[in-house]
Amino acid sequence: MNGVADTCMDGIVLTGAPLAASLEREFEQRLADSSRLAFRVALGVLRHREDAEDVAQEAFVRAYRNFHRLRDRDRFRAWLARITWRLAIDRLRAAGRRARYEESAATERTAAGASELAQPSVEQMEASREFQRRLDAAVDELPEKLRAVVLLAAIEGHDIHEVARLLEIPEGTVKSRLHRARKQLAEKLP
Amino acid sequence: MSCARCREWILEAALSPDSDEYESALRPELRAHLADCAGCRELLARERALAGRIGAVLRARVAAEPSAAFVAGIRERIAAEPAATPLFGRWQPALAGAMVVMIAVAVWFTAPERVTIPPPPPTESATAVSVPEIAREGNRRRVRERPLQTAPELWAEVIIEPREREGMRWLHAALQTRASRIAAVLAGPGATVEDPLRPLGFPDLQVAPVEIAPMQSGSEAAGGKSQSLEE
Repeated sequence: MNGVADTCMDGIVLTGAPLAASLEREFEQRLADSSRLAFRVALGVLRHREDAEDVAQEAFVRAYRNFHRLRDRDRFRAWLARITWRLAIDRLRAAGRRARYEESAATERTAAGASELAQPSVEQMEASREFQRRLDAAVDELPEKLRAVVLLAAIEGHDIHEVARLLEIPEGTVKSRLHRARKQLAEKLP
Repeated sequence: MSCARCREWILEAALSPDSDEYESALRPELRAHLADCAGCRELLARERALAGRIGAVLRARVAAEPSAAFVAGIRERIAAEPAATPLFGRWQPALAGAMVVMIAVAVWFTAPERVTIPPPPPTESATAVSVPEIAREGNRRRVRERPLQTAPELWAEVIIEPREREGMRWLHAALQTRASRIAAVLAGPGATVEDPLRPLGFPDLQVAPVEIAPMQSGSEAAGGKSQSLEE
């Protein structure tokens, strides 16, 4: 990872300073700690594995380019989550993507969802798939702030405190947004 | 406690973010009501099930693991980043200055220009031609020559409606004929007049089409139809 440019967030190259060796090591550590987070944030938005990996990898590249600018290294996960979220939203808005996600999501996650939701009878699988489809659509229709809270809270091991830390907002705000989001979701489900 | 009030609490409790709050949200009054009301117990169970399903689907949505090649792919991409070359390098200030100069020059040359047309110089033919004039001196009359003062050589542009154009052509042709005759008389018998109209200042009539956008409103104007005065 030598000789990589320093860029600002929109990708315009500003200077050519490579990361120092100590920063390289630190970034390696962050990469090991946060790769799953970036992937899951992207997956929550995109619902498509390959695209989620692509977006998460791009987010890491951008984070690497600007890593030396991040003064508070403890904010790395929040910073990375926001970069990933932004890239995933942009990708989702690209033309013609949504239909593809709708199709792939149903087939990809049926097994995972069904194991937690119901017994695998044909009717229940079908009902589960329909419920999942409706919920996915309802989540996609949520305002961005509410969607971010819902999806980050759904990631394994994330509690209110962690979501607040990642979004850098008060815990009370997370709770109220989560409540509003779930209320909106429940209203759209059978 | 009424079932309506209880229902509000149940819905609030079911929507609580985590299980601890979920349990604590069940107030003592609610618990007492639930003990006696089968309908509200059923509602609570239903809402809990719905909240559970929502949570399960959301967790499933983000539960997948990245592939084994994911992290390696990140390293690969970072390694493939091009070496840092600042935009235009050290020539950036010079290029910026050159662009400013180019823009200034472009603005200078493309700015609207005010054109002043000086009046035409007097032509020799205007002073060389004289016309006969009868002058009275007491009871006697005498013919004398008076230099012809021609009108300044000006071109007039007149917008004429199509229905009046033929009339203007006829008028111009008549004036031309008269002017030719007058010029021939002034030149004397047997003389040739190269430009009989010049002394009297009758230029040729030139008809050019004029595009005038009619005054329209709304959708008509958007259509952009224009009316030509030229037939």
